[in-house]
Amino acid sequence: MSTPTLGLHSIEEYRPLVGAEVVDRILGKAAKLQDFTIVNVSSTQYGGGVAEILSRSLC
Amino acid sequence: MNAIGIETGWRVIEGRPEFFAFTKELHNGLQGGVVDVTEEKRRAYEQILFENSLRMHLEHDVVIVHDPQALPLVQHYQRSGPWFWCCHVDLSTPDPVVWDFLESLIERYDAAIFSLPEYAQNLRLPSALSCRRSIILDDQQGA
Repeated sequence: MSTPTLGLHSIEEYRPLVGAEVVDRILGKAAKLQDFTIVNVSSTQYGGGVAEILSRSLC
Repeated sequence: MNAIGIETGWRVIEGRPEFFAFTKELHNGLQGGVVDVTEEKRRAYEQILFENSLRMHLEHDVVIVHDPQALPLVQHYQRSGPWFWCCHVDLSTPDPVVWDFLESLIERYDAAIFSLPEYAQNLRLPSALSCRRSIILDDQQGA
């Protein structure tokens, strides 16, 4: 049974889906942006495509 | 993003149901629907975003605003970095009245990001990016 969460996913969960090469490339790029601060602004926390994208990318 | 060292936040704007009814109209208008954009509705929409700006502190390196609902926020901040507008809707045939209203707001951003190149219209922006040419994820850019 799955554990209820806010829908956050770790990048490591994508490794079997997209392959190690893709995940490692993203991690390599992220290394250049350490301590960089980003903020997203949207209109809803639940429902809709934007909320789906953000809840999965912020983790 | 946070787990890999990029400090990333998410703010959600607030508004009354009539505000979101109007932003839904704008959303539909951008996708080609015919909508009734009155001066009164426009003023109320801009006022709600101004009020949101008073309690929402955005001092990050990058601010990414998604879709039309929060577009006017960009007018109310001293920018400490670039502001991006990320558009998730089909902009290929927007309603002309809605487009006239929103175009000048979109052009206050440093860049806009679209799902497809043909959605970018003829915006006067420093940079209009499609997701296929994302500044961070595309290897071709050497980022």
